[in-house]
Amino acid sequence: MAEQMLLDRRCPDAGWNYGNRRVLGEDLPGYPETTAVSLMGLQGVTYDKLKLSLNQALRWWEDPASRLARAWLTICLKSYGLLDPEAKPSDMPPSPDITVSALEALGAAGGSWSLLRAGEWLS
Amino acid sequence: MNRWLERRKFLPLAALGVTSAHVEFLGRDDPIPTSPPGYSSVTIIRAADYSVDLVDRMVRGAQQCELDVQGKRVLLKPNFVEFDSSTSINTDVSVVAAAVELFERLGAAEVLIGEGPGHRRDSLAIAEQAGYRKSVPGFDRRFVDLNRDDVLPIVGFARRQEQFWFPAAALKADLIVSLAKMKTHHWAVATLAMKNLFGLVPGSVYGWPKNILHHIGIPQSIIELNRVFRKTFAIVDGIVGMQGNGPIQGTPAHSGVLVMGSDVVAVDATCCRIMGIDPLHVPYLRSGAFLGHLDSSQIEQRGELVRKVRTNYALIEQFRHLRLA
Repeated sequence: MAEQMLLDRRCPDAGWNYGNRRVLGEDLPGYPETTAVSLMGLQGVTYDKLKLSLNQALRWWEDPASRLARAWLTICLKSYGLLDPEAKPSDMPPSPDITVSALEALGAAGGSWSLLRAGEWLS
Repeated sequence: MNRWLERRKFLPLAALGVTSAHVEFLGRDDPIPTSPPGYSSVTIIRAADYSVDLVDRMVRGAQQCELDVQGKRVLLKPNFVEFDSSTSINTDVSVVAAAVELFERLGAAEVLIGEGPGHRRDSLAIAEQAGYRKSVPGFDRRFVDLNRDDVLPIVGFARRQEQFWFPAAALKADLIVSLAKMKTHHWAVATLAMKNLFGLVPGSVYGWPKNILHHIGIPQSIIELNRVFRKTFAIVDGIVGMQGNGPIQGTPAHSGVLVMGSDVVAVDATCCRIMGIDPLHVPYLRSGAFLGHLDSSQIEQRGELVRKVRTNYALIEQFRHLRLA
């Protein structure tokens, strides 16, 4: 049911925002960071249903809006096996923002991103 | 039932020493709450576009408002709820940069910039896209992400039993400057200096898009926020505002003005009149009239006259009856 709710709230650009796909008849855009988080929660859904969203996430990863977005997308895409595990979330020096730094560390080569892969923590 | 909104009453925030009047949500024909005695000054300054000397204009506006910020910690609160290069959502970067210079010239002890975007978790990404990081001097040093700042509790917000949390930067500021954008709003009618304080509510506590404010009620929340935060000054960027389906998906509307003042009710009422909206029928202004001056007879208009700068903003269908005669 939770997965279906997320799928129902997917934006027309195949991403997710804060939860509204349309307001007063106007389409709303998805955001990179919330798209990454939503996809993390949808790892049990078949690939066909997520293909467009994963492609959108890859496009955003290649041209990131910010370090926070890139960090979340790195964790997400590595979890789906769509990114080289050695890929770096950022080539820049550590961010003064502790949230960004923590997410970049999680998504780094050798980071603990794999623990967020569906079922990984059960094995 | 001839009621726009469910009647609700709120208890005073005695602990904060703020206005003790209660908030009652009015029907269309109910009398408007009594405003404080006296009058308020609101200054309208013309600025044809963003390339003119905005600092000079703001200095004149501040003088007309008799603004004194010597030694104060000032928090500038612009509106960058989202970014879309095709329209005019945000307080323009040049207005923010000019405001920083204004308050430094006026002798403020500290000038911070704070915003807690209601939709996006990624505040710095919006600041980057909107050009703030590049064009506002010392932006990264001054910026406080109000969605993720340390928080402190207050009691009594919207009659809630439990504590309500706000960013420390907002509660500790001596003056909050609502650097708002002049926009229509598809639920509140207009989003101006008062509604802009939604960005003070921390997403890290209440999530995105801060649904707690929608549950309390948008007009109620606007009034409550402005009752809690009384040490405010307003500068509304109406050089290019937004009309129609605001606050995100409307279209640009050129009014060519900055509107400034210490009485946020009077500033918002004046902005509405400039936009061709009758402020006496905007629910949050009508019910919030106890916080300031809504009636034009209690507003001393300085600078330009409203009628000379009035620009009728396009209104969505449900608000067309609010068009000022």
